[in-house]
Amino acid sequence: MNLRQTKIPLFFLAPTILLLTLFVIFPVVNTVYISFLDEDDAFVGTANYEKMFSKRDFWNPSNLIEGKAPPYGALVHNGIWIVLHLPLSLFFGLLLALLLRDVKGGAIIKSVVFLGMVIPMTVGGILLRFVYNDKAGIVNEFLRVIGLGDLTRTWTAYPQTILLALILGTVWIWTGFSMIVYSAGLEGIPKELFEAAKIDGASRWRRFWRITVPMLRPATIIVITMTLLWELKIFDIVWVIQQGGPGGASMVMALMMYLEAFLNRSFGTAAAIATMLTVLTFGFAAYMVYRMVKE
Amino acid sequence: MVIAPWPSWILDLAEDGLLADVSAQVDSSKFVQAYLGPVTSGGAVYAAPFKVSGKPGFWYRESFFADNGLTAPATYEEFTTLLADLSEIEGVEAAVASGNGDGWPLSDTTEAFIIGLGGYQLQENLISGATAFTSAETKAVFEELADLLQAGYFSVPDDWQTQLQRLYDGTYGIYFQGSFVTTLPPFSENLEDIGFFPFPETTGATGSVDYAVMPSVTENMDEARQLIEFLAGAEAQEIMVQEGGFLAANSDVPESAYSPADLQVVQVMQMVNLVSDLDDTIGNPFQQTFWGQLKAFWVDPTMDLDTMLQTLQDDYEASGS
Repeated sequence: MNLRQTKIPLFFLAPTILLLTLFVIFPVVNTVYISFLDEDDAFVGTANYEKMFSKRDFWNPSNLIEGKAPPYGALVHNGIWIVLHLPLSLFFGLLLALLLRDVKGGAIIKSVVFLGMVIPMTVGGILLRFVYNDKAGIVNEFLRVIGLGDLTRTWTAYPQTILLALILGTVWIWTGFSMIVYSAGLEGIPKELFEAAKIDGASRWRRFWRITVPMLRPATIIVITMTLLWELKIFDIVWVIQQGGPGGASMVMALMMYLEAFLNRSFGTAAAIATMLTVLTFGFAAYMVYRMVKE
Repeated sequence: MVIAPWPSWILDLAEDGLLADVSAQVDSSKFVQAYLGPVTSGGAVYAAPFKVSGKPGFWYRESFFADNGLTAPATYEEFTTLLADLSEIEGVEAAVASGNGDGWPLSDTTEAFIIGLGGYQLQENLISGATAFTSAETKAVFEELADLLQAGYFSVPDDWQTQLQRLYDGTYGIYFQGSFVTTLPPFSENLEDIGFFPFPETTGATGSVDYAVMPSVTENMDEARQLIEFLAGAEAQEIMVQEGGFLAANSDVPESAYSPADLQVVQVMQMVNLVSDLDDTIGNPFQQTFWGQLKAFWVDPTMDLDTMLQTLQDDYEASGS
């Protein structure tokens, strides 16, 4: 490759590299740097990270270990979000994609399901406030209709129920994404595979498990990656509903980072939380990209 | 120039050199210490108190009280009797409406109890740190509040503006709120049927103050100072109170400028000691923790008070007050 062949690609890549450096690499590196400084810009080593873990709002697993209600700390709450939200979003997205495939009116139903992804998350949060409201909410009305009126309450007002309410509510919001990705994935599976399997006598379940699931692996990796990143960065819905309360029972890392930086003006601690978030999201994303490339 | 309602945040900015000293623009003899003190540091005043939302007491519908043979209580005993009576009325879900939002409706109500049961000095001492949140006298206030919450006298917190309508509809009997609610429907449309009573036997009241501050790096220093001086003065504040719902911070504003509803609030607040707002003055991280803990306390008054009060004390100390 001669010099001209090297220079020309670099020339075209230069603006992208410049923008990436200015708006991604530099802020990330600077944030990591700030995480090792105090308010007077003096180097304090890992003090901000120790302070982060000493905050009940960030790390409070004793309640979880003792079987009590939240708060468990933002780090644990984000973990619970991943454990519950990810499989449910995957399952319902795949189920809807399968059910609505080749169904008359399926496109319209998919559009309705996808509405959750289209609305701003702050609007989604306000909607969830109403959905879970004791007087106006559809969830409580449903409970009354099926004879479980004793369970009705404003689900977002109680530490015992707010985290679960938020997670289930965001399953509704995010399922549209996984449904669309899986729908596209299903369209990419050659029909001949199913025909051949049918001729060989494979049952519907076997065809699903041996053909559909493996062939959807790239789509699954995309859904898992994007969903994980979204769960780690969740902020607006939590803020709109209860600002991380009541009593820190719905606090998440991104919200805590915001509160530390802009309300408490503790930029070192905020930078420590941001760095931890970056490490977790980058770690997950890098592993998932590696899996995708390998596939 | 910026309007800001958080004195602790204002002082943080001032300490970082980001706000101008406006001592020359503010005639301190026209303002009570409760308004000016929280924005003064090292003898310098960094904000001009502009408008006040008084927190005079519990609002109610006068016709609702009349129809049910109720009267505003003069003593705390009468107050608890009123709560019980309200709870017995058909259609009333809870005696007291509880507002949700960031958390300030609950903190306002709690401060009314702190001042009403513990005296205005307790609130002042909590702000200054002379009394800890873990003290016996502070715990006694929260224990009393816990008893009332466990008795079901307070509603579950809900959108604070929706609760105004529910108060008017008779779903709740009384509602502790700031004087600005007289500018909001349905109160604004039915002022002749709206009344309030102060926390019985209280020795103090708070007001939430909107301050005018001036960045130290503004390009138009002279013009900004002129504006600050105008806003701190009686003329600007008289214009403001004529819009209704808010009180003047400047004592030179005449009573004739107020509407009858607002004048009632002014007169009640003149009879007690004005105290700074607790969480606005202490600031963060205390304020966020205070609001969050109260939200949890309101729906679970059996929670461990010692743990809650220790949490508040820890974040009070972290706030650097």
